[in-house]
Amino acid sequence: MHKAADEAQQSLHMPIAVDHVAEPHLTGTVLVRPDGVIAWRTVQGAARELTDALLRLLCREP
Amino acid sequence: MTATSAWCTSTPNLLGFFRFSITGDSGFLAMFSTIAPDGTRDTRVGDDVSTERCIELVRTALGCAPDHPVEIENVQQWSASAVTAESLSSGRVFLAGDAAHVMPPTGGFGGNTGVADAHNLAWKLALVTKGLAGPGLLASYDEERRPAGALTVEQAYTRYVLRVDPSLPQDDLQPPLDDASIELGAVYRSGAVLGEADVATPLDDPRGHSWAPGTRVPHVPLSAGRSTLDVPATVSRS
Repeated sequence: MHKAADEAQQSLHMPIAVDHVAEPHLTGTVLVRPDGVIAWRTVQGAARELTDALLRLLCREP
Repeated sequence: MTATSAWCTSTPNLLGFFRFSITGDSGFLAMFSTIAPDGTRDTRVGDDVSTERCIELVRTALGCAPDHPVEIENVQQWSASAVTAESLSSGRVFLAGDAAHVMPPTGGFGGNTGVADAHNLAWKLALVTKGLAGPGLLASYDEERRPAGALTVEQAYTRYVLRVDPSLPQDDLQPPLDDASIELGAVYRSGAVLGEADVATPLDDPRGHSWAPGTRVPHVPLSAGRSTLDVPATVSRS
């Protein structure tokens, strides 16, 4: 697991859905709580790019 | 749960709402106030709840003939309140729903706010009692839901004053906010959310795509009939 994400998860006191976004011009990590609330993200980008990248992340099967 | 439909009634003589069973063969009338010919509103409807008076009120609210058959099965009195508990948790005790916040029915927020409390608390309790998360996670319940509940109470009260009893003081009344944002757009700030919230306001429009920490993942359709709201329960990768 990404070191920063691991540290974030420990700070949150909980296991959490974690994935790494790696796009040609967009990189980062997003943590989503079991209730669907975004707990943390490092993904940066314009709104449209961000939505597209995070949707690609969420669309992948486990 | 029996499916119901709500029907607001506003006549020159009274203000309230019906809630009927979906089959329309039973229901109740909730009364906010009667209205005198000079326009004065009287919220002391409960002073006279005789059967004759209740039948008269139901007929007036329905706008039906004065001899329309009406049967009164039960009468209950209630007082509109707008109160939030000082804390939603103490040790092993957690307050949710009307135990945590009571609000006027104007806006229809009470039931959904209680469901949101349970939705917020259930998964935290499950993780902690199974030993999968630390007890610190439970502290975030009060941090997240008490501000959300308090805001909702204020919004219900605002609607009560503006719709039901404009004679009440309005100096410190919060301006009405968007209904959908109140119901689904709470922005959580707690130990279970890291980093700065990109959203400065206490609410985030759930129809938008802010992707900000503390907000819900935007609801976007995915393939095979799924949506982004189905994903968090099934995704656990590292």
